[in-house]
Amino acid sequence: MSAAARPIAAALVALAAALAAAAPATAGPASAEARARAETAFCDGRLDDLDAALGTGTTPADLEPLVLRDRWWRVRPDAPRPTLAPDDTSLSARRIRWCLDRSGRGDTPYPMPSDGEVDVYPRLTLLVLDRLRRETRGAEGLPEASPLWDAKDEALQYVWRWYGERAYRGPSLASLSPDDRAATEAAQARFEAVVARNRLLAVGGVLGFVLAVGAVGVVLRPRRKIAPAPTDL
Amino acid sequence: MNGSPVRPAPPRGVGDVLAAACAGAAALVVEIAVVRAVAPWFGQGPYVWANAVGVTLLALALGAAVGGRWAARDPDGRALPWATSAAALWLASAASLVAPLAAWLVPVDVAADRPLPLSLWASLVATVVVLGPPVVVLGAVPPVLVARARGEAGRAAGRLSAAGTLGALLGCAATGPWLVPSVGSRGALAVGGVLAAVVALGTARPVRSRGRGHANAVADARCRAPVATLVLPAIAGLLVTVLEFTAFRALTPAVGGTNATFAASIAAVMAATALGAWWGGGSPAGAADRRRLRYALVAGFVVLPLSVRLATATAGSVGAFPAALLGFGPALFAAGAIGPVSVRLRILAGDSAGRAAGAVLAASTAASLAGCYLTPLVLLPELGVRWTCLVTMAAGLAATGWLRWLRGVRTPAAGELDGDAPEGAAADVAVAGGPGGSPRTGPRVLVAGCILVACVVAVVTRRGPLRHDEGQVDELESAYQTVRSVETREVVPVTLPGRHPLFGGEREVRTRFLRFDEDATSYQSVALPDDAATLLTAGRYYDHLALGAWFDGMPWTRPQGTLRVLVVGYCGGTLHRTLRATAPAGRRVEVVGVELDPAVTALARRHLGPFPEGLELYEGRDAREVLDRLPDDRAFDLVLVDAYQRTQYVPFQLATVEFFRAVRDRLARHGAVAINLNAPDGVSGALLDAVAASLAKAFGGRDDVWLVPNLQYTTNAVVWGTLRGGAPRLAADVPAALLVPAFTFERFLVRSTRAGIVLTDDRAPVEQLADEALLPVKGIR
Repeated sequence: MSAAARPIAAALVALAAALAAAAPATAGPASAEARARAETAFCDGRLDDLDAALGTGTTPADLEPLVLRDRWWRVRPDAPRPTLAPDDTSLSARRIRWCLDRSGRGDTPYPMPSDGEVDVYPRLTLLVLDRLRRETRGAEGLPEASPLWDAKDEALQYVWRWYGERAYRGPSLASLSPDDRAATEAAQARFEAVVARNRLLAVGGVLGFVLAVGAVGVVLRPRRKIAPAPTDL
Repeated sequence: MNGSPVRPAPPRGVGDVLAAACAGAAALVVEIAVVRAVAPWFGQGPYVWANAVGVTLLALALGAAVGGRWAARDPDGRALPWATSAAALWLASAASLVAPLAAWLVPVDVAADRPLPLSLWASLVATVVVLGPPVVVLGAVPPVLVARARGEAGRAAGRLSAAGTLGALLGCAATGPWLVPSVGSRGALAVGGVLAAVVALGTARPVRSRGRGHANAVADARCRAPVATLVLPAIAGLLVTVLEFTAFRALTPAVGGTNATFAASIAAVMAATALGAWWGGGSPAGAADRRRLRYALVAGFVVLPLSVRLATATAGSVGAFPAALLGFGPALFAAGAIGPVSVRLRILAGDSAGRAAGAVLAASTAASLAGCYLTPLVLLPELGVRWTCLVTMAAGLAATGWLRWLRGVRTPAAGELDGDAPEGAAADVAVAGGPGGSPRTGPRVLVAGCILVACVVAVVTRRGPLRHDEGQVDELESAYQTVRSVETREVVPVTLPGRHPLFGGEREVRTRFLRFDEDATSYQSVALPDDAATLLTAGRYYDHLALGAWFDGMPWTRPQGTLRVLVVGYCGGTLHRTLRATAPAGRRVEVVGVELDPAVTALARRHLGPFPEGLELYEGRDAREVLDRLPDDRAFDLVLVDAYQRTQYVPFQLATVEFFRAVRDRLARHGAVAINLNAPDGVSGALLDAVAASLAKAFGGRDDVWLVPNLQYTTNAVVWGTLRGGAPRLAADVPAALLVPAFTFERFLVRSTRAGIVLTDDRAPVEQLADEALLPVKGIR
């Protein structure tokens, strides 16, 4: 871009930003698609993308991922405190209260859907349950013992299984591609062969060394014996 | 055999004492030099050191035994210059051959970053080949010198033993800190050759046979000396070695694990032993010997546990050498006296001076060989310092029981123990040099002189790098390790907007590493010269440690404030750069860095770039010592421990409850401590559990210790400890560059719940715990 064009471009960007800011937000529940997009962003660790997806939502279900993110998953001290209707006992409302009241550090279990209730964010539920488990019970039984092991969402399950195996058990041959596995096994065979060679050399070398010095000792044995001096020892 | 005309005897005392000192020094110099020379392939693990020390002691013991026989045939030591010249030549040649031999035994492409199963055996091969023959010769020197010494044999044994020990002290103290950095490990091997050549020159003028006193006249007698005269030196040799290892271990937490501490503790041990040998040699012969020895042993060993306790308590204020002398000196003094006394007792029982010295030295050195494996691999890891001292005390006191077998010892007749006979007395023993042959000094001096020159040339010869890796920019041998600066182009994972952080893309980048000793693909410091601002270290553990600055409550999560960090193991400054690169604009990072090896920081400045501002660097210091000496009001938001010694091993003193307590006392209210650990099996393994358990204990026994794996570089894991209680939480505005570490932290962190050994200053078997993962020959499942 030429130097002359830069101020024009900057002005256009500023204008576009101002128009975007001035546009009235569309209040109301977020769409199912927006919620799914937000849930995916959460699962992918792109937590900043949640605002773009759910920023205009007003219902507890729309606020749930944001409150979860800002009050429990990560900490944003300046995050606005959502107001809930006192009589709202929906799953999202219960979860928001859980996040606000307990900060996730108590013994209160994470609210789960009761009969007939729909969990709008089933993948987030798994993430929370998994994190609670890891933070209380440690690596015991992982990765299989995590709720993410059997997650229905393929991506979520894949990430957990692939990385969980390595994270909690170390690398395994089973997780390698056939080519990598063959290369690893060949390298291992060579490694073991050199270990065996070195072991043989070490045992032979030390024994040979001791025998050689012993032979010198034999060569140096005294030539002539004379009577010992008398002692009263 | 006819006696030769009597002429004034050449002055033997000073020359032979110097030769004994040079022989002692040479053995230690080459022992240390060979480990350093093979370290780029073998590493410097406990097994490698134990094998090198073991082979050296084996060779010295065999040499002493052979030397005893040699002395019986050649009490004037006429063949000594030839043998020591050959040893010198061997060492000078070995200086050029040791690196190719090591590379053949442990090929880098086979061993990769886990050479231990290979080097466990290879270190035996290399040390036998490089050191075996010359050290046998060096081990034979003292008995021959005792045999040709003038004056009373026990006194001569004491004097020469003290000289040899002091020489060994100098060799030990000088090789690591000074010799290797100055002339390289191969040059140091050649210095061993120089010392052997000096022994050859010093003994080139043979003692003219003018008759032998009783001590040598019985050279061929069938010795009837009680077995106690061998058992006692053996016990002494064992205990001296045990205490030598224990002294360094005991003092390290108080004064740090630096070369200075090592040298000071070894110096104190050897000085006390040498003093004991001198005293033992000078004590009155006969029954008085036994009495004095018993008093010394009882007094020295009874106080051992208490004196060691006192020494560790005061080491921080009085220094390592006085503390080691105070703690271990009395016992070592008593143990050092046993050798010369035993030599004298054996002569009284009918042995010759040379053979007696050889037998006693061989017994003592062979037992030391057992001690060099027993102490670092069994006693200290299993029992700890306190119990090792108690066991040593018991063994020392038990040794006095053997003294009763010497009850029948008589007081020798005048001149009975002398190496010289009255003037004019006829020699009555066959001498290897021929019947009274006139000693010809010239050829010996000429050959020894030529070899000395060759060895000096070998010392000063400039060789290429010890090990040359692809892309290697520089290499230096520091007082602690070999450090290589290597530049490569590597493909690293990068995150892409809108994509899963672990499934972004890849980019080829230019990367510079600092690699130590056996590092093949692993590294101790890293820099991405062209991409550091955006990629940091491309997801390596430094990025994960830097995440701690974004824990809830840290200065970065507040409107203002400076981040105060203690980096233990500053190395090339990678952590500091990463913290600086992820700091909010206009905010300051103050780092107190501690780096044991000043050569590492010097090389890093040259090849990884200057260190960021805001650094208070303590070079050549141990973190324990620095923490103790910082002002009381000095607090840190973050303490990052990335300290390794001998490449693979966490320094034990930086993994104990006592260290973590010292760290806890320096942490701000919201502070956190993180330790980077090798984790070949993910967030499991005995070492990881032990460090986590020790951290938890130091932090009040709470379970606020957390383990975080690394998903991209799977052989590292981070142990986090926090003071606030509960699992740590990241702040909302973690920078984008830390996206992957943040994802890993939130999705894979686990509470540490497995029981592990609690590591203490007294007992911290970190090497053994690390070796559990490194030793198995089988690779990944």
